[in-house]
Amino acid sequence: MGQLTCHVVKDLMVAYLDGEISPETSQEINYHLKDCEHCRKLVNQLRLSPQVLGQMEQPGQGGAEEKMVLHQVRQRLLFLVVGGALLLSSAVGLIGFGLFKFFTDLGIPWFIKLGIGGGLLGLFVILAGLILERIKEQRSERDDLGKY
Amino acid sequence: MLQQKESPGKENLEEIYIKYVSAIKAYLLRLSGNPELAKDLTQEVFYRATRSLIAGKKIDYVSSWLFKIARNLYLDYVTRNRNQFDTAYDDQLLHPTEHWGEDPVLHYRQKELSQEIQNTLSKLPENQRTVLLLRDYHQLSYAEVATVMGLSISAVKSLLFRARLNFRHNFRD
Repeated sequence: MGQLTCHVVKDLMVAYLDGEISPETSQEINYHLKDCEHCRKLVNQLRLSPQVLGQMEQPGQGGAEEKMVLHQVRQRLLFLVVGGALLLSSAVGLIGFGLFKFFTDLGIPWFIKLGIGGGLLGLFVILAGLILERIKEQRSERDDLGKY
Repeated sequence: MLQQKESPGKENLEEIYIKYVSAIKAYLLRLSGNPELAKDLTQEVFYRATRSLIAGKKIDYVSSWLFKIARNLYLDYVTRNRNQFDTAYDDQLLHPTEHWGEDPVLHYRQKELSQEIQNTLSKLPENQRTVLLLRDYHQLSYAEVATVMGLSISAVKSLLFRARLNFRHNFRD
């Protein structure tokens, strides 16, 4: 046999070494390698890295050190969430209080209240639109692992 | 080990993550050659991963996703610190995951081998280092490596070809 050219064998070499091709193709490559010193040399050079890296100690799973890392992560997130919630509640409170005072103040003319009220409503509509868009995007992002 | 498909719900998130902490740390350690950096970035990886999940991101393959975050963080770090970036590493990094066992001869050999591997890796460009680590050390599938690196499967194979050849040429040179 030995029908394959060196060029094709070279293209298949990585998959051949990793056992990711059909037994038939693998057999063809074996035939080729028997006759071709150049490809044989190349294959042997490619064997080193999987062999050597595969010998290194594999990382452990779920030891004390790992738990510590996740514990620290949880703490950071907790601070973020608690801090964020506090900030948000105080902002909402302040704004709500301000608006209440503003709209119930009889000294401010009605058309100013109307203008500012309309502006705030517009702002709210724009924000709601943006949030809805973002939610839609996230749904379609299912297979897009490109961002973190 | 790293190839199973898992969709994390909130209740078992930690159980899933805990399986990958050491793997991510070992990857970052080998990639950067810097134990301190690897430690910091590992925490950052899981911080971001958890934050994204809380924000409602859907993940198909946890392992590829975590490796991808790790690699992006490393690349960001390198870009930010281009001027003072130093690939020097110390003796410590050569125990990526704790102990080597009791046998002193074995210990020495492993250490020596580990040092040689690190020397060789540090001579390769980042994408070749990553492809070798993910495939030959962490034993991710081609598809997973392709996802992590944002490449097609055939591009992964040809990168792997070049990387393995380059590794061979630099090893014990």
